Amino acid sequence: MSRVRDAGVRDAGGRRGNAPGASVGGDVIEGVWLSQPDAVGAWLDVLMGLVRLGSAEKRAIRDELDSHLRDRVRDLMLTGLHESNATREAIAELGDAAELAARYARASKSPARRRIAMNLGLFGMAGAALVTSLMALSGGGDPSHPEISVYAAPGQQRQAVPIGRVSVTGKPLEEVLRGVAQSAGKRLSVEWNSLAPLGLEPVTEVTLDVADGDLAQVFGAINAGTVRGEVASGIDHGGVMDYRIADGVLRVASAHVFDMEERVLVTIDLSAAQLRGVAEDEIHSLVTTFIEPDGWVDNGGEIAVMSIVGTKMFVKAPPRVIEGVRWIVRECGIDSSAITPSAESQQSAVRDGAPGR
Amino acid sequence: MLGRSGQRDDMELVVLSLLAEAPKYGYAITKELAAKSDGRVRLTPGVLYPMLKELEASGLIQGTWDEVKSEEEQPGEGRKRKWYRVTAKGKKRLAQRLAAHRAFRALVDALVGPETGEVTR
Repeated sequence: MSRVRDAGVRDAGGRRGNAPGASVGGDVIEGVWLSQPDAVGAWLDVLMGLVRLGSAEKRAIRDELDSHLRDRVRDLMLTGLHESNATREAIAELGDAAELAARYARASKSPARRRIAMNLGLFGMAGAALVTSLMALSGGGDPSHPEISVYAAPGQQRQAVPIGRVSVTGKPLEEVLRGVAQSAGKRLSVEWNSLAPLGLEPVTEVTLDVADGDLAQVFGAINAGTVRGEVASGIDHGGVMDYRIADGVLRVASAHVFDMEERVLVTIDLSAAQLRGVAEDEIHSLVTTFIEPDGWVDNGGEIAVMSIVGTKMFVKAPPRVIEGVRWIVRECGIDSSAITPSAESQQSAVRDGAPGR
Repeated sequence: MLGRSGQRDDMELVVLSLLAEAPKYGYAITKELAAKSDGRVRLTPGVLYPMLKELEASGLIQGTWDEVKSEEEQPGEGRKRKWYRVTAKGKKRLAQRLAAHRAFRALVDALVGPETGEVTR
């Protein structure tokens, strides 16, 4: 699309709509004459400021809407509209930016996701015990879980470190974390770049009162009070602050950072499930629907990827996701007459400790 | 008369149907829908794109990015375009929705008659 020399009509005040500049559809924003591509870009800037999603999702939304607007402006110009008017109309068709941002937020939090969030909560509570059991699988596999063999050992994991009472009011997050690390007897390392998308900065004010707490409780309290509402409840594991301890250092970053670092590659034998008549694509669908759907590469995520070849399912994902996958596979294959008694007894033993049950 | 959720389900059915024919990008969906309905049905982009995002998050459709190649844009300046296709899960959902839609239409036809569409009192 060519750039426009005649910018066209001035938008009164340069602003309209619920949010500042949200419905700008003209050629002047904040009193500056803009070419049409810049008008589109400025409007998209406003929208991106209103969308409360991760940076990768926002980038994708921006690219898609930018492409749409360019197509639409081109077609409107073919009907005889001047580019300035075509741009204005194309942007107007998208509606109010604040409403559009809200629709995207709802779309990212579908009913299915809310149900999943409940399951994730249960998975999360199963937490340490499940992770510990999975860690035992690293390096050579676990004879009690023959359906899974672990390719790579996961990295460091959360440790419960008692730090006594923590009570602060309106203190900067950086200062709070320093105090927490000191109480735990650790040096502190914070990856602020990973926390910025969560709205967490060194100066973010923190108010909390945790009596006789450990690190996990304190971090949970900080997340609940500071991270944006929809992710604080654990709906999105990548959307909270987390920590690990290694070599005397308390390392703080987004959970997404640790998820990516701790991914393990496993293979899961689907023979039992397939003998029971459960197709591979059904298992794929179950897993990517119920186990952290936004995390799967197939769904546009990053932390988990799966491929099924014959009777083998290859999964690379964080340990808690692997545990959820294993639970689904087990639920598909258990109680089948095709499973030999020994396998059934092994799987039953595992199921008793499965998450969410 | 359908409520808001009914209208939304109908639009989901329509979008899945269009994508089941062939992969499409968002703007192409709006144009094809307008063309096929002679302009009577118009899915605004402000509704369509969040819906596509939700369908993708639900695993019913899958999006892939492609670079737009046009004469007006220089190499390296190309914009990206997201193409959507229906997944296996989406095809199942579409079949379910179509079956439910046809069953409902048959019921209405049985009640009011398929030809006139007038309600008898």
